[in-house]
Amino acid sequence: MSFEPNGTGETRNGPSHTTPEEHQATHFDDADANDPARALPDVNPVSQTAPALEPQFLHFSSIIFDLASHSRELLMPVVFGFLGAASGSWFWGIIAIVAFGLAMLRTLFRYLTLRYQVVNGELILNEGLIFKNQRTVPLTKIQNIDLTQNVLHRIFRVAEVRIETASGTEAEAVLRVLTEQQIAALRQAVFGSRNLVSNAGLGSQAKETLLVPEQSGASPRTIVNQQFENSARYSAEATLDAEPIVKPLLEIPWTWLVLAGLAGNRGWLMVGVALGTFYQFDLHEKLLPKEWENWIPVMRLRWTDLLDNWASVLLFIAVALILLKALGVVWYVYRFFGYQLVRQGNDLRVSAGLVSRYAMSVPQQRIQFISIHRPWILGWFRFVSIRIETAGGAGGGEESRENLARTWFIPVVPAAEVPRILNEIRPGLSLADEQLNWQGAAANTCRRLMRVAAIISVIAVAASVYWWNAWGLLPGGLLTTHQIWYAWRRSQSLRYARTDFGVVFRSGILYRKLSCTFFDRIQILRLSQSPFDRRWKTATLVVDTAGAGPSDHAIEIFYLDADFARREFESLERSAAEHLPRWR
Amino acid sequence: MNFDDRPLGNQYSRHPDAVPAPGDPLASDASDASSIVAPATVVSDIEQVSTFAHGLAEVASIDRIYQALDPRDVQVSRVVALIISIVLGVAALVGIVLAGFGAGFSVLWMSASAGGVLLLSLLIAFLFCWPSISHRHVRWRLDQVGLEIQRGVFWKRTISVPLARLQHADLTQGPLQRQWGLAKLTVYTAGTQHASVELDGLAYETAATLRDRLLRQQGVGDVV
Repeated sequence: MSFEPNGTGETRNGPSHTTPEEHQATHFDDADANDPARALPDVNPVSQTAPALEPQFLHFSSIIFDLASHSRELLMPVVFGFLGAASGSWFWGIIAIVAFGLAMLRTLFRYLTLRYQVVNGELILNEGLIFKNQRTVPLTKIQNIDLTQNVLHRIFRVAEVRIETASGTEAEAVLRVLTEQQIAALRQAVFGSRNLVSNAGLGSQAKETLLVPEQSGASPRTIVNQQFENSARYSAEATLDAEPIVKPLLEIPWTWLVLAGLAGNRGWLMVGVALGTFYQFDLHEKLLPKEWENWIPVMRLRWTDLLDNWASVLLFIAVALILLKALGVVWYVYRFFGYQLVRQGNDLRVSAGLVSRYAMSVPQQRIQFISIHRPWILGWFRFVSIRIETAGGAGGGEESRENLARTWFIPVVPAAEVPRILNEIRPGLSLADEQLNWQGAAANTCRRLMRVAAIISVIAVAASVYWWNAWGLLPGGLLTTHQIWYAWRRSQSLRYARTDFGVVFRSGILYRKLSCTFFDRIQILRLSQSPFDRRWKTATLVVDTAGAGPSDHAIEIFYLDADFARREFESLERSAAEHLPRWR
Repeated sequence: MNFDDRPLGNQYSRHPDAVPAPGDPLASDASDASSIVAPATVVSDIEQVSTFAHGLAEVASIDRIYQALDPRDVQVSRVVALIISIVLGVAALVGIVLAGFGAGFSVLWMSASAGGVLLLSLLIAFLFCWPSISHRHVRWRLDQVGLEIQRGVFWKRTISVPLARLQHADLTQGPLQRQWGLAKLTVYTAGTQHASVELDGLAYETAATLRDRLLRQQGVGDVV
């Protein structure tokens, strides 16, 4: 322990997480561990079985690799320096030297101040000299130790090490770089003690990370290949040749896909993307003839002409809409033709695609969040889509390979099928209205939103009358009507329910979203009150889960009655603490 | 997964309006601890639960009432305010003098300078007053449920982190904080929007003990 400010010689000597029996035996000693006056002996019963790693510096070649990793930032000054020197000016040369010197200082500083160690079942990372930071990661939380080794690394027989837990998308610790011996020692210290806790009933998922290969004779190549991928397993394991033998839980016929394409607005997105790429690469100048705008009849028209040629304008709009919808249909069919949802053990396997098929396994116990989306046109036909969220790999866009199976877990399905699917995703799960004790927004929410609507409307009407005189009443009036309707519907649409499994939240007027998460998935609870909320005696309750994003429906329940929200907050706090993750 | 028949609400009742205890915030209180009975029988299918229930007994020995930040936190904030004020003051002085030499020492210059000085002094007054105000509005507590932090003067937030969801923690000290024996604790969960929760302005010993408590009491295993 070198993190001792102000002379507090507190050392951290409590027993580490080992088997529950050992923990039980030593916990009364642990109760005194926070007494700084009492220096605990340096030995504990665990130290033999879980060898701690002494404080370690990075390998000295880190200086080179750290500089290399910042080479992009250094490139410009160096280039300018050379150019300047070539033209006889030393100004840029000095700048380059200063920049290089600063980078060197930073690298040296980092190399000299970063130390890592494994003590008492925790990985401890000390950094900094002026601003000191000490990061503590319990070994049981470490999911992967990823290695990167390029040619240069191989010459020095070192590798870049990334230590990851379940939190966030970034690695919790990046050790650039360690020697193979250091990596082996780190592995042994981190995963060696894992064998002790592997009986603690973590279930199949966690056990996979526990299978630590023998480290002694590992060659550099095999070390690199041993990635303890756990969170990203569903994407890594996607193979197409394993054809399912069991009957699929769900197959989507092409008619549903056509319906989804017609009802959805994917066409707009595709046009947007196409236009984006079009102008990005200046294709309109290269491909289209000069003044191409004149080729499209509408573009030739002036604003006043439009009223005379209304028939052709309507025709143009109709054709454009049909084309857009056709594009949407194409997108759905291309992506999801032959969609199959299959159960494989504890995994739900999704496979789809017309030309290039994708397949992904979603481990059932990693599902954090289920979201049912009902866009309004699709809703008319009593169809919905289902999105899910799993832990890990929340990065990447909606269309990224990892997110495809989650954002579009079930792209389109009849609402009548939903209860059956939900039961498959999580046995016993039901989101039927009659089983939920719905709570709406506070009673005064409609009045509150109406007041906002009134303020906006008055400003809008005043502005439009100012611009268009009496004609201004038309858009102003329309907006006012819309605002009032919106305020009323919004106050009615918010719904929240706590059930025996977790939390259900519904929102949206035309595009309705219904989401649920589970007590054992709740990561953080948040209750917030703005000054306005205090005035109206309401509060906002936020329930945060891992991997939120693909479902596009964060559980943020606005306008709850303040007292009710506080009670729910405390109740959820307790429920979240009581419900530890289930693995079976 | 209920671990006892007794209703939780009675057994672990909370006192929302309890005042922070004087002295060491994490010192165990004997009367408090005896009133909390650890669940004797644990209905569980996995051993994690027993570890957790066992953790309850330990956490229960910590005060369950709200704690304030360390009072020295206000001093540190004021020192920061002082540094900012000096920098701003010097900059303003230089600006006023340069403007005077550049544009002449006119009435306009005088009134503009006076206005600037007034605004600056208001800002500095705010910088010096704000730390104690915001300090009064931060409180935290650790109990068998988790870590709860309340903060905010106008926008009030309450954040609760269940113990078992903690992934790792950072303990950070800047030079001023080191001088005053303070530290900032940041805890991380696997959440998305609020994945990390900061608690700045704790005494270093409190922060270190709290960190150890948080990371040790949660039992083994993976939370997602």
